[in-house]
Amino acid sequence: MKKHYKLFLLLFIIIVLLILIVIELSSLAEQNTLKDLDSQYDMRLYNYYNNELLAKEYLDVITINNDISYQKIKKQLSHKLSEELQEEIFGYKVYTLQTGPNVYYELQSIKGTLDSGVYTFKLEYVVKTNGYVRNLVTLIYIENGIIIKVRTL
Amino acid sequence: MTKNFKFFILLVILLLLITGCKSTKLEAKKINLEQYNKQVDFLVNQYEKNKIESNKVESIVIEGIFGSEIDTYSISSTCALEISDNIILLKNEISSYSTYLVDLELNSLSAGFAEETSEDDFHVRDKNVLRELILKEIQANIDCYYFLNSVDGILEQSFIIESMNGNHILFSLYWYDGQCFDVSYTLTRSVN
Repeated sequence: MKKHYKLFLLLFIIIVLLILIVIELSSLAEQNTLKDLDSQYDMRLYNYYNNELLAKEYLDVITINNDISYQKIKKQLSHKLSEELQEEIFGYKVYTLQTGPNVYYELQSIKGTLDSGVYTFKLEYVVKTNGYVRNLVTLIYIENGIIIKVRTL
Repeated sequence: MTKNFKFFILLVILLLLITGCKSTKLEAKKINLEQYNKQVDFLVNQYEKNKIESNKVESIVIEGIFGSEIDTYSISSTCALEISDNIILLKNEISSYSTYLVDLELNSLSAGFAEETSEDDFHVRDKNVLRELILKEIQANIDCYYFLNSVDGILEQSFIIESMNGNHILFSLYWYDGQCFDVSYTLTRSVN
């Protein structure tokens, strides 16, 4: 009985080991398949989507109303702007205006186009602050992943 | 022995379940890939198709605003009449704007030149020339963009035209499947 018990135990351990090996091999195969799948994504709009995210990110500039928000948004956005825009928007070390009321925005739509290597995004949004509500339209121009021009109509 | 045996059976079942979960991850990725590629293909095809058709209308709109007639018959769309009506609105708005600019220019010139020439001849001659120049400048500054909405594939053909006091007119045609289905006319108010 004791011998049979040991035999069963041994068999069982072998089965478990075999299963573990199979799982490991299938995991490796799965990793390779996942890598293959990653390369099958249609990349035609890859840059468009990335630049769209950047354009949306720019709107955070509207929310700057004190030095804390100024420094935070300067850190996250400054290197994504052209030198001229950096100077224009974040040219000062500290926030030089008076602390204002909170400003919120709600993006209603974003649409984009590509022409001669420059992405232009049209953003329609609503700005709300201190009981004041305003609908705005802004065009954001992006080249090589850098915002080069902003035009609010 | 029975307890150990049950434990090992449970262990085997657990290991098999882990294998099953990993397969689910792969399946989910495949579905995600298929959906993503389908969406990209749809958007790119829509954009190309709508761009071709809307391109044909761009010159018709510009000619309609600055020319003598609006070629509605060349616009094969259910919105042809609406486009035509909006072009008339644009013509009137630009006409008012150009008159404003002409008057502004003449007022700044008249102080220096009124004594040298006959007042009436000066104003009639220069006013027409000035108006032509100003209209050409307004026309040259019109921006026409073809914006893609990456959610629904609708192409927005936007004409952005300068207006008085730093404001802008946004005249947009909306295209889907090669057809213009909607028109919008908005006057933005400058933030400055």
